[in-house]
Amino acid sequence: MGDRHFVITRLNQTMVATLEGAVDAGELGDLVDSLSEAQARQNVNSVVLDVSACEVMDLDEFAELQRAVRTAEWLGLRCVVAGFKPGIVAYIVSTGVELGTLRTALDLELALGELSADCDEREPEQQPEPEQDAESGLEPDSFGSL
Amino acid sequence: MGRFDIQAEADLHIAVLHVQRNKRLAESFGTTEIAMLATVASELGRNILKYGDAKGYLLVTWIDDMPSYGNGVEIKAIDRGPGFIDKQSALCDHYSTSGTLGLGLPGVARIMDALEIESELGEGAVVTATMWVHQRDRKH
Repeated sequence: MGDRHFVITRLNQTMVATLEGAVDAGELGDLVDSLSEAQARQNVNSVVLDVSACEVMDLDEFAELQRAVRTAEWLGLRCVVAGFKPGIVAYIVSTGVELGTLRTALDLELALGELSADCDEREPEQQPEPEQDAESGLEPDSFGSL
Repeated sequence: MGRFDIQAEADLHIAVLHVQRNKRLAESFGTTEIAMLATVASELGRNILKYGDAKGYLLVTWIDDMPSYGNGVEIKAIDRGPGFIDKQSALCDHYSTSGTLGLGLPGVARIMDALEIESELGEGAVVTATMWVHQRDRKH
């Protein structure tokens, strides 16, 4: 067939892979290759798989998606799947498939927000420098130790 | 509503699109149900590719005013492959002859109102899944 069914764009350190329509194992494999290249060259540390354009996903396709997510995570990329349609969720939940640790978000914006929140949690907060008392020259904290 | 020969992945997509865009179905079922019907078509069609030697077709038929059931839709997958080794087990979770999850047919059985398998070893298979309008027993 030859037509790619995904488009990759970059937002800071996040790759956004937008899947269009149905995707198969071969294409998801290509996607993971593209992501690992991007991780190596462009200092990317996370990926959003945007499936909002996928109207239907059967269990084979879902299993391939899970595999792609696991592979990306093992490469060290944090991964969120965004935009599952209600019909897809209803089907997958009804079949009893284990979702495992799949991270999802309602849409791309929320997915990016979630990944950004991850970064905020990881960076230690800068402690404000203690203010010096101008008259005594003592730091307020020093009283606590008495 | 239509017959869709299934010989390659692309044929599945065509069948799925037809189910998604069928006006009759859209008038009778909600969007979530349409998506589930389309996914059932995809599951059963994919089984034709995987287990039916890619020699088969999907038949999507509108059922008009069946006594006791009313209106509904039937998705039938017919193939000329080797047939089911064990029909009963095929409907059990995690039974698979190809190393997959084994949730496809049991999942379809949970979603649809009826699922029937007719198959003799060596003589292909007919899998029929039916969903009724408005009289669905809400299992989930």
